[in-house]
Amino acid sequence: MAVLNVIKAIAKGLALTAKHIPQNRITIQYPDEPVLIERRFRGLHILNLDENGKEKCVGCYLCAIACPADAIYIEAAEDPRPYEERIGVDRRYAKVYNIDYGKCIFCGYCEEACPEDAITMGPDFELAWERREDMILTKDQLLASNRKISPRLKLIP
Amino acid sequence: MTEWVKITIDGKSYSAPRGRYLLEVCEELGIYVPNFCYYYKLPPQAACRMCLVRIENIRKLQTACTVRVQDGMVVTTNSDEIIGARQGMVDFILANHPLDCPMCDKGGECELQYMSLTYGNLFGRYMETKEHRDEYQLSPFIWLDPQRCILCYRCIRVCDEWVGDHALGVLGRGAHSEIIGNKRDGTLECENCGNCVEVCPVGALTSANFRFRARPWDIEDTITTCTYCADGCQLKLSVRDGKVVRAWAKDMTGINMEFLCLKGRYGNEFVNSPDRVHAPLIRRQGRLEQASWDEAIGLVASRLKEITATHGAESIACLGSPRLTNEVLYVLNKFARDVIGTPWISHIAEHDWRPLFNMLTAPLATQNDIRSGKKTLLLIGGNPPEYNPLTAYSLRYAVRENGSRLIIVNARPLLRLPEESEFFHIRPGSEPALLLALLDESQLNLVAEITNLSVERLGALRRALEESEDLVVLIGPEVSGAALEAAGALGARWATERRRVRLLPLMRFNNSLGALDMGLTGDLPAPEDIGAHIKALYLVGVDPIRTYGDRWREALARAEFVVVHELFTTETAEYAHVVLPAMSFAEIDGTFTNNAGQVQRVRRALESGGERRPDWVILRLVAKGMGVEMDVRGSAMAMLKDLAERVPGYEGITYEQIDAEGAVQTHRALVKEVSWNDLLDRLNAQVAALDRNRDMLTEPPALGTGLFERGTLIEHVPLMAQAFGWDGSRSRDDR
Ligand code: SF4
Ligand code: SF4
Ligand code: SF4
Ligand code: SF4
Ligand code: SF4
Ligand code: FES
Repeated sequence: MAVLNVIKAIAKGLALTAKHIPQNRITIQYPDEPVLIERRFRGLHILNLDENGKEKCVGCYLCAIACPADAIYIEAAEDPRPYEERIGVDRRYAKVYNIDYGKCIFCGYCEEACPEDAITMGPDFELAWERREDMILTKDQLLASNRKISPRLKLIP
Repeated sequence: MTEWVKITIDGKSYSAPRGRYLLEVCEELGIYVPNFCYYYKLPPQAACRMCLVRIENIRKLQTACTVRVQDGMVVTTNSDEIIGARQGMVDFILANHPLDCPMCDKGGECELQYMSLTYGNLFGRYMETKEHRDEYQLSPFIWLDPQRCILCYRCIRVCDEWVGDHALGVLGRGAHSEIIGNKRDGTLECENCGNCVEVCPVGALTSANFRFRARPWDIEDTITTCTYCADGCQLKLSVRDGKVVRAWAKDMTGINMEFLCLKGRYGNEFVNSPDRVHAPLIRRQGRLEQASWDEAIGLVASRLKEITATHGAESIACLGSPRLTNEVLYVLNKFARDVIGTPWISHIAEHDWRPLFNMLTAPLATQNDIRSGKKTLLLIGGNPPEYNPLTAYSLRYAVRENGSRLIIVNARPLLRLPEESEFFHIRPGSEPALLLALLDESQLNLVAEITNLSVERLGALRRALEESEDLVVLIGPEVSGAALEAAGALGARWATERRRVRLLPLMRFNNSLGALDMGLTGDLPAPEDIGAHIKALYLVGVDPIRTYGDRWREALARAEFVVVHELFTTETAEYAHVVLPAMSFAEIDGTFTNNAGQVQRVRRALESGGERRPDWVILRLVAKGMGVEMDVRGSAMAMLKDLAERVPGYEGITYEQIDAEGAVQTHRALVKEVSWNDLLDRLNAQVAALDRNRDMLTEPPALGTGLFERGTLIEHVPLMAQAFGWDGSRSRDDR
């Protein structure tokens, strides 16, 4: 009798498996296939530029104070040249803008604090570094112009 | 006598001193009336109309900052009408004001931000476009953004009243008014004290060194004492990320109220300099090379022992700097006298003030003594606006607020002191004769001849002192030797039951008096002595080549062994065999004693980088290397305790007391019996030797004579070097 029960259970299990074989697979074959990312996903930050390629950040330090993890480090400076020649939208700009991803908790408060829409949370989620020092990304690495969105992700339209 | 009157504010009745401004009365009662242009101890301006209140039986709303309290006044400070009026005023102020606080340097500590949030409308009601004006630099130290200016005139009033420079004005009318500087192109030629920046409620005036470097929320402030002149202002050092980013007063509790001068405000960034010595240096084959502490201390200790053994301890001279803390000077004195055993322990000084303190017969005058109550202030020599800026501020304050009588005796007319002062123009160098006139009435004829003042004028001067009830004599460095003793004896001569006399020596360095008190009172070796009977020099923070000139260059080259504790590789350090990296005033705890004998705290504001150590630690290590364990405790606080037990006048001074009182005046023993005959003999001899034919000087000393002077510390402040065109090569025009 006991043997019969075992066989019955196995058959039941196999039937379930067989039922799922023809259905859609939901495991994403990352990194061979891209991951779908929501528009509002909070990943690696992007420092935005205006329509003429000027940095939007004016170095006001508001994101840095809003940050609960103390992850943002800024040094503001002055660029008195006319708009066409200067780095940022205004004469005040961030000479240094670092985010420490060893500290960041991706809360998005910085984005909310920014009065200039200069910093937004991007879709990048690939956050692995080999050394702690590498986890501090500098302005150059964060600027929209220098950022390639990873081919391994796709934004949900 | 103050007369108290009854007034009613918001339905409650209070009593208030008649004649006080209503705004101040409200403030003291804890009823906040918003205001912009009102400023403590500045003449009222009534420019902003933020302080509107309703006073019963007056048809229109009134400005609380100009109305004086009267008996039976009934005041409303809060009603719908007033709220509406305030909203209107904020709207009006914002009519041309850019709304880009993130870009503005004031954001986070701006009075307008606060007012707009608290009393303004959510949306502006003006439809007109804002007038745009560009920001520009008024001076190397100060920027003006006319667009952000709310025309409160605080800056102008501060410059007129506190600083006496009258450097700012207003151009145009109405909405087109603009603050401008005194030069033709609207920029500034002034002493650049930055007090206008400090009082500006908005981001219109900003400091070049601080602009954009930090926000108020990410700096840490430490209250400490200025490291420049002997007046001893309290300042807040703001540190961001291990760097000093600004100094400001903004605190009414210090002896300087809210005043700072150019050096105190903009002269602190030498602390950040990359040129600081960061590790011990030892001379090898003629070049200074980096070494370990053990090696450096070992070398110093063994060389000092060798020299003691061969030439005796008296062949070693120790010199300290009057910029060091009392604690360091105390340990240095012990080190020289007990560890090395030499009488050659002294400090670098611009002037020998010892005679004054040997003959002191009156207490020292504090800044508060100058500022409070009506007095007679007699200034003999000196140039306070340049060398003792806080004293100059207090003199202006005394004349303006209390109608004190200021008498100036000087070889040159002085700028930036009140016009109401009485000026006695004397022959250069004849200050000792003038003191003779003050001590000995029988010699007026002689004194008249020497000083080029008439006997009547001298009589008038003496009469002014006779009429005085409260006399403060300020003594400049032109008074020396026996005349300085005579100045010290003025108390014995002039103080009576009815007349208080106090003295203020216009000393030069932040701890000049501390250096004397700590016992660095030996004689300074002459340059010729070095190489002759002085074989080794132990220099703590001093650069005799800079202070005393090239004769010391050869002297140092002749010395067998020279050690310096330094922040920078000075010219003297270039002759040193060992350079030990010391910490600056911003990196240690301690105390300074100002020219009024007040002990004030120096607080550690930031960590020192590199391998630097505090001077007293270095001295203790060297002593240990020489086999002597110094009886010095391990913290500045404990050292003050020791010092307070042993140094006369410092009895019982503790950190707690200084923290509670801000500044604690030392008790100086006064000379009871003056032997007048001896003193007058000495003074007469000095007077007889004076040159009676020197030409009179009619030109005032130039603006910046003292303030814009180059020095060991200040030349490493980037903004200063830039502003005054100091290049890397050193000049010694500032002796
Ligand atoms: S996402 Fe949050 S934690 Fe990360 S930098 Fe922005 S504010 Fe800081
Ligand atoms: S002055 Fe004040 S209100 Fe005006 S922009 Fe600057 S921070 Fe904002
Ligand atoms: S810096 Fe000082 S002297 Fe110059 S304008 Fe401002 S307050 Fe006057
Ligand atoms: S510059 Fe500043 S202090 Fe001067 S009037 Fe304008 S707002 Fe007031
Ligand atoms: S007046 Fe003297 S103590 Fe005050 S800030 Fe200037 S240098 Fe320093
Ligand atoms: S504070 Fe009274 S009018 Fe400005």
